[in-house]
Amino acid sequence: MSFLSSLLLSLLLSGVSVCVDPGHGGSSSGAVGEYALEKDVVLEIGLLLQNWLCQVPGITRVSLTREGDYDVSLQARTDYANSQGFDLFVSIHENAFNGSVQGTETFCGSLDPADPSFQMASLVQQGILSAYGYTDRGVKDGSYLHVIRETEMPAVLGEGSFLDYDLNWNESYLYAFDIDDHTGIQAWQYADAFCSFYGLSAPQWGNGVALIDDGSAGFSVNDSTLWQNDPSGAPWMGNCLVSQGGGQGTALWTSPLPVHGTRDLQLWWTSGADRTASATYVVHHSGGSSTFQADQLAEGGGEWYSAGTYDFSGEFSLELTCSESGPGTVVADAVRLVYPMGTGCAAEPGFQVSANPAASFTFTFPHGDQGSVQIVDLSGRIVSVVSGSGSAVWDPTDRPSGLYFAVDGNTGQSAGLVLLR
Amino acid sequence: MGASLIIIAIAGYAFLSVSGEYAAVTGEGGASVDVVSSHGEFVFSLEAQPGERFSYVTFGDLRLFCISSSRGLLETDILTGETSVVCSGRTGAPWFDSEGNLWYTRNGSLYRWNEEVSGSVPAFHVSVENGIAAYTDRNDRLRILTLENGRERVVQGYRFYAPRVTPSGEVIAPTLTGEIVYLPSDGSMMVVGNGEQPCWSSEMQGLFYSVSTDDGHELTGADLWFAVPGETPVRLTSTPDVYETNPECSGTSLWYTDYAAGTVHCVPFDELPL
Repeated sequence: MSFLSSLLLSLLLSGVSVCVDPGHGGSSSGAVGEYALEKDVVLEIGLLLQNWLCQVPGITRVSLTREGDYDVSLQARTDYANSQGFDLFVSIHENAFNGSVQGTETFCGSLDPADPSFQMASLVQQGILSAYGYTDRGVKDGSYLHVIRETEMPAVLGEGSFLDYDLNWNESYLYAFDIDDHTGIQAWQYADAFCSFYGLSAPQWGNGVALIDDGSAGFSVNDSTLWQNDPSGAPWMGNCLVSQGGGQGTALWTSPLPVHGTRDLQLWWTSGADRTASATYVVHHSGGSSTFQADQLAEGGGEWYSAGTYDFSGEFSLELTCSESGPGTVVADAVRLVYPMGTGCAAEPGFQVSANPAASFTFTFPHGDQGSVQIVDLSGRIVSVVSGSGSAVWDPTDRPSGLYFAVDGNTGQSAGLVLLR
Repeated sequence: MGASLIIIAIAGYAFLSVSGEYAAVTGEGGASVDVVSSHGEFVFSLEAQPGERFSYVTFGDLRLFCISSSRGLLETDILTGETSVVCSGRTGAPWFDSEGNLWYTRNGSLYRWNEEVSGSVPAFHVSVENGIAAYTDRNDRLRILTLENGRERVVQGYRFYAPRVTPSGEVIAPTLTGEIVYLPSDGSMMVVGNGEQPCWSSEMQGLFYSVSTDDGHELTGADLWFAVPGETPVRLTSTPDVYETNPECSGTSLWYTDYAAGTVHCVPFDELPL
């Protein structure tokens, strides 16, 4: 068994953890496009990537170095990653030059073909190239880049495209309005590259929807004359809709793809002196519907506001209404669903696993809780589901030798199981 | 700041021995760990095997500890070069306390040498001094564990990382948004400055830290600061061409790395502009 194979098997047995680093943020906008800024694009990609990777059995933790639009120093990013002992660090960036260059490039710590960071970078590069079809600017030595130089684990830095490109099309427009899933495609290519590298089953395409902006798929209004575009006041990705008064209006965000599990519902609107103090929202979730109000006047705008945590079991929709009689204008901009702050894949460890001489596996749930565990093979197929109160036992008598993953039905925590006969 | 002693050109950080007489520095790509004395003399070099990478170095005077990507947690006697495996498989980062104990985590438990001390420390990095263990959980909350009775204090509100316990049991921790937080044993908490990489000096009764600037890809500067909790921080350096990072304290001196030049420096406390 090669060293790399040994390393990968070792990681698989204990699970893989990934640190996702959306570049820039806060006062550092990064590359500037006509319709979008690098710091916003890469955050959205990072959130999508986290959503997808968290669904993959064998990936135990996915954390972001920043989860919003604020400054995080490069030194803090790498010190954070090193202190957590992540297995992999990926920094997401977009490029810019003079508006006439387009292409994809990925940086790593070594161009040695045997180096894990080179192999990972090659997979990322090939994936984004195949999806976007831009010029291949290659896998490059990025050992001078801080996040590659100072991380203790294999690290890659991707520059998916040139955000300022504006010749045959406007690249930032594709990101701002997510034309043809432009943002999601890049996130999924990162996810697919990681899964390929670690021999894990790739997540299902689209199963981790994170953000619905006005103008993108999943957003609609009942009356386009009532809701007018108003690009002032820091809208998300370039524009937003503001009710102009004089009618009963509804804006609707729906997820075009299923959403499963607990998410923090976050809202973005723009600031203005005429904003309503009581924007009324109705969110539909697994427990039914909940109505809440947001003060779009006092809260300012131009940043994400949490509207609470909800459980979803496939469907998600959010309605925002404005009325003729209601004071102030109502803003309908972007909505996103993210994993609750800092939780990564699982908030707290769920089960503990032990094996006995008869080669069965026992999963013990904390506090005697009711729990269930999915047993998943290397192809991602669920081969068994066991449940119980306080504990559950998987008897693998009918299963061939090999590597399996146990996934906690409550927390998503996973653990590798080796079956030898 | 007073004249500093340039130790050696390196590509990584300096890790100090307990006495401050030696520093261990990692070579590029983790291919080696070099040990130098505070007088600038080369002492020992641990060379990686083909395909092996060293990381998370810590140093206990004449013993060096690090994680090998293929062999596990290693211990090396720098006088004889003899290297042994303390623990094979995956462990957390080693921590050597001021009393000469090696601490590390493995499978969610805390170990002192080969003895399991606590069964509930699910973290990679842990700092232990004076019966207090500090670590962050997967939600980036700070956890301060009293080993004697298992009592744990959970601190949230920031995304903490890399906390350090001082020899007298206080905790200092940086946050991802740049605050440096000081938590004395009375349960209070205060932000003492903004920066990264805080280290405590018992002799100076305060903490040194680095404040860096960057362009999103590379550092563009870094300087050292000193803060006594409750007082206004003092800037120690203002040098555009020298990027002072990774401060570490021995009993008599402040060590730091010049990030730009790749050199390690050592300055006696009495030469600091304080």
